[in-house]
Amino acid sequence: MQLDSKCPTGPIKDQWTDHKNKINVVNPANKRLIDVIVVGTGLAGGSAAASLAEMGYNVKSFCFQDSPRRAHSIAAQGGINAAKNYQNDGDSVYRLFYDTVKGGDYRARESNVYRLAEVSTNIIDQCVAQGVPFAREYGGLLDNRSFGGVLVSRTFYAKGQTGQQLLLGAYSAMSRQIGKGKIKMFNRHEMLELVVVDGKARGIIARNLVTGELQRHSAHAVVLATGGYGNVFFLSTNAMGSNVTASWRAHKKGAFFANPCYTQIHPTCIPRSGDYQSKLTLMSESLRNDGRIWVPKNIEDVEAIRKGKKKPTELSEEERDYYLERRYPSFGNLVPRDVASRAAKERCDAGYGVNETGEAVYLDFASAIERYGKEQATIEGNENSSKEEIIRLGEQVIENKYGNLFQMYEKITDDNPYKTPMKIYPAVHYTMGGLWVDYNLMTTVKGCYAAGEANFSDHGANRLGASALMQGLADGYFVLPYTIGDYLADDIRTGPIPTDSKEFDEAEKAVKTRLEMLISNKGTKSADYYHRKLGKIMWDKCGMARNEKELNEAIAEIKEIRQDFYKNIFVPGSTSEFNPELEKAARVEDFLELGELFAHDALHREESCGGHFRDESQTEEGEAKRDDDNYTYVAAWEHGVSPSDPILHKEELTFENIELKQRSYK
Amino acid sequence: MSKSAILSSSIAKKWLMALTGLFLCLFLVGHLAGNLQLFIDGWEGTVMFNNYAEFMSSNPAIQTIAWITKVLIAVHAILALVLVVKNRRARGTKYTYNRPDKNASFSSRTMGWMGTLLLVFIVVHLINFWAPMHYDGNFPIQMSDEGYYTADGIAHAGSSLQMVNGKMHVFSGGVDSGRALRDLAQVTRDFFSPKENGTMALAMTILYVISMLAVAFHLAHGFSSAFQSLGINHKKYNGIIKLTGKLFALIVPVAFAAIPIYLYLTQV
Amino acid sequence: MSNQAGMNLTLKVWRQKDGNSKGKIETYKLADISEHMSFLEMLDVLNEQLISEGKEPVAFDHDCREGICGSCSMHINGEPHGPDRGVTTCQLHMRKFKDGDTIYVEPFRAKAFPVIKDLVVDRSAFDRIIQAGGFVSVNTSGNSQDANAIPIPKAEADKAFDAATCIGCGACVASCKNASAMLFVSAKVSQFALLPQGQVEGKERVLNMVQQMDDEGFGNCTNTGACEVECPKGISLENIARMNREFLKAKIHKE
Repeated sequence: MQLDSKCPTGPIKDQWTDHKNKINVVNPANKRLIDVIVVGTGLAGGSAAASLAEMGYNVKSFCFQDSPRRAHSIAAQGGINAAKNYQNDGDSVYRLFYDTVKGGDYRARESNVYRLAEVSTNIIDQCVAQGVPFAREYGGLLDNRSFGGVLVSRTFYAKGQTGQQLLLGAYSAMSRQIGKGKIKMFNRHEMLELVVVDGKARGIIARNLVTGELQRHSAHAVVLATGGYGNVFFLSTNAMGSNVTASWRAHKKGAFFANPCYTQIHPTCIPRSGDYQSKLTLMSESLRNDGRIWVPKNIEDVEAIRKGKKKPTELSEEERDYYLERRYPSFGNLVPRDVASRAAKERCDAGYGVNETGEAVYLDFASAIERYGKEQATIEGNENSSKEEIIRLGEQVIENKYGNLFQMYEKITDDNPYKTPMKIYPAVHYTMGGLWVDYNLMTTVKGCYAAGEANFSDHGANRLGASALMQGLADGYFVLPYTIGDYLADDIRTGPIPTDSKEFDEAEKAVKTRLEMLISNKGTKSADYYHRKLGKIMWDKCGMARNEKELNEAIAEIKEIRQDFYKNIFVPGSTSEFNPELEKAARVEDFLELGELFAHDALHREESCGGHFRDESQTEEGEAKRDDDNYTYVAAWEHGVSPSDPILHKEELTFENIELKQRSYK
Repeated sequence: MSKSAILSSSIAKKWLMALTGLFLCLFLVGHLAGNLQLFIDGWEGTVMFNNYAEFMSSNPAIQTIAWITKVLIAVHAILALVLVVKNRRARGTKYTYNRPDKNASFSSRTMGWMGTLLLVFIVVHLINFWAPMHYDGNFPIQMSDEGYYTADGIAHAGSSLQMVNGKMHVFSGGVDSGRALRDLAQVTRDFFSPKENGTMALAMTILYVISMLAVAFHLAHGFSSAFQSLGINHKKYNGIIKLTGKLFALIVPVAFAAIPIYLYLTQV
Repeated sequence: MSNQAGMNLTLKVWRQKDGNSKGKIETYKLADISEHMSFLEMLDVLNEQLISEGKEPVAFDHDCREGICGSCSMHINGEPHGPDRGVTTCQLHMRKFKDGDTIYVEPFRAKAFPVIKDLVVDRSAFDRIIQAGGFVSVNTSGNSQDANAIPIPKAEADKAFDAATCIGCGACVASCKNASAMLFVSAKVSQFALLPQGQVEGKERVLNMVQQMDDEGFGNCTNTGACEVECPKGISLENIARMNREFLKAKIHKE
């Protein structure tokens, strides 16, 4: 099968407008005759459902949580990018486009990224109109902050809760449509199968998680906005329920899975504290604006600190290694996430990790506190303030900027980050890979769309900070509602899709068989047991740095775990009740297949790019080395006869507007 | 939504609770001001208090306010009952283990109980003083060596008492000089006097003091709570509202309670 | 710190098969619990233990485990989200407890939050309140007014934000002796009342949301302030006062 990205041609800045002008449109009266299923209620799914309903489509919306407001977009902290250039620092749509392509290490589609940058400004307008309380300056205008990997301030934010505010905006827009009856909301329902009729996605099988009832839902198109698959690592910053099931089920029904190995490891997370740990907590990247990252220069100090004999605050400037500032003088602590993460791993692997597990580095606010304190003292006209006074003032400034993050850190670790440096370590955070989609966001299954983190489209091999929120909302508010019309225009005379067809029968039967197998298996091991085991392999062998030997081992080991899973899984309870263990087991089953595909993809891509770092492909200084001659393509995997034989399809990437360069943040 | 009558809404009920509550606070101040005259001993106090009582029970404006007060007490109490029932229902299953003391003050959690106690007290209090004064034809009349007093405060030498249309009148020389001045001051003193009222005096003193404790708790939350219900919550003024509320809840009940204690102790 | 032996705990957990069954408190013993664990990780340990004994694990709502999604909904030792302040259950850490403690774990209780199973309750009443008016009626539009067209005083914007940080967990309802939802509803009403974008339909909003709140069977606010104390996001009672004002204004003006 030939992959057709359907990217428009012509000058890049006109492509989206031209495309919108040319594609089919469904007239308002006919929209009432068309049903659309949207799975997931995060930024992408929530905004898509609301917008589609506003346009007149009949929307059925699904989420496994108890309310659409709980989707994991809510946890995004830092902000959302938009090329508004309110700060007059030379920002533009082109610059945002350029930064995103470069940040993604030249592995994203130019057309998609340009469109993303173009609609970014509309998002801010839309959200403000919805009553999203973005941070403002004293003049009443919107404030911006800067984020990693770029040289302008284009990030809009609402303290450390930007994702929450944007999601609640989308949720309120959805709620309005639910109240009007244009969206039928299914809370606590999980999609377990995609139904394909005559080669078109025509519905889903969903399980009512409260009663266990399997339901058939039909529609003329299905939108999957079900997020990323970071939980394949077990420990990640994703929510406990985040899973790959919807995407994976679509994949098994014919949707290609693109670039699964592109994983973002976020540099500023709270380090792991023990084996019982169930998830990792992110500290917003915005902290790197003011925090300086370091480890001790001397290994003796590291040991003394680990034993509790020395405190980090006792080390002089000369005894500290600010390794990011040392290695990347021009971006310093603000290098992109992948670079910062690998640098932390490099120091910790060399033995300089500062906690008991050896997996932590310091993020220090002492100099920022002093700097802000002095500024504040000057503003207040007390340039001769005492050191204590300066620190008090500085701490106030820091509290205003990051108060909730500092509080969260203290609650979790019992350390006061105003007084002693934070400890951080990288953790899995976001997956750039996902279902392959064309320019219209349609997967390789006709009528099945993927939006937000669930698709692969805009971030290439690495995502810049504050771009996930931008992409989720761009897809849901401004892209999908237009492009879906192009497909649905053919369906105005189709009429309601019946759910008593043999395709629905078969899909429901398959789900039923699968769940009953899980319940009736007389094993002894819990779903978490397998999830932890899989996660450990993924982290150790498919984590921040990968090599051929370990990837091959990972493939073999994942296969073994999968076999063991089918033999020894134990799921208590029954299928016909509220059964969280059954939900978990079904999700882990899909992760066990995805994990292998992940490793295959990582193994086949013998270059380092963005979040994918191959030990075999690095410069002499240990920086990632791309291989543009051989790997400037999207790897879209078709599901083979078994999870172990995926079939590779390539979508070549062409760069007409940006010159491919080795990324440098020095 | 116009489909709802104004009182069906929970917030409207709160507005009414707050307004009636604050009105009753004002009433307390007025009532207290009058009662403080009982601290004035002897004939001078008797005359002053009885004339005051006569004015309060005969002035049409005051009488109107008095009836409004009674109606508002009823409204406040009935509304509270409605709310309590609805609020109980809103919980459904109770917690096996609950620690309301961790997040709310005693006074705020006991508004219903204290309010009930107060309602009982108000009824008792009305039976003790208000009802006999208004409906007991044989209510004692202020008199001195100069004879009985009429409501205008004038003594009539050699006068006698006679019932006219259920009201006691002063007759001097066979002529009706007008309505007699009731001696509420003496009745009140006797009520709390162990000599006159025996052990009942002690029991009543204790009951009145306890009831004032209930007033204190009810006001400690109620006063500032009323402002919150009326939507008055502003950082700049919250301090003063809270402080006023606490002082009010302290001073008013203490002053009220001091009266029976004083009367009891000075007449032992 | 981590070398210390863990804590031994007695858990008294509410178990209820489903909405139609009667529930009761069951007692479980747990050994060697690390003080660094979160409360939910402690429950994970309990569940692993129950599964290994072939018993049904305790069902509870949880998702983000970083205090923002608002899923977790437990009444712990007599308080929603337990004894710590400014945290949700998922961020409550075991260092707040002592070796040998007995811990009661119950679902949030309110008639409007019926139990689904064990510690899981149905909070869709909150969704319905938002559907009644917790939004600004603007359609998605690619060219709505520029975001900076209306300046908003920083103080107002910050207050709106503070109100908007509500995570909809329901601790306010759970802590209130009347199971009142006023803090939740007022947070949303306030957010929009403070922003020019929201003021346009402010009157309809407050009336409709309060109506829905009453219809759902929540109790009445008696200003005890328990909700503010227990709210993991520190939503202020000021919002309730603002809603009371908005409500009166709307009632007076509305035909």
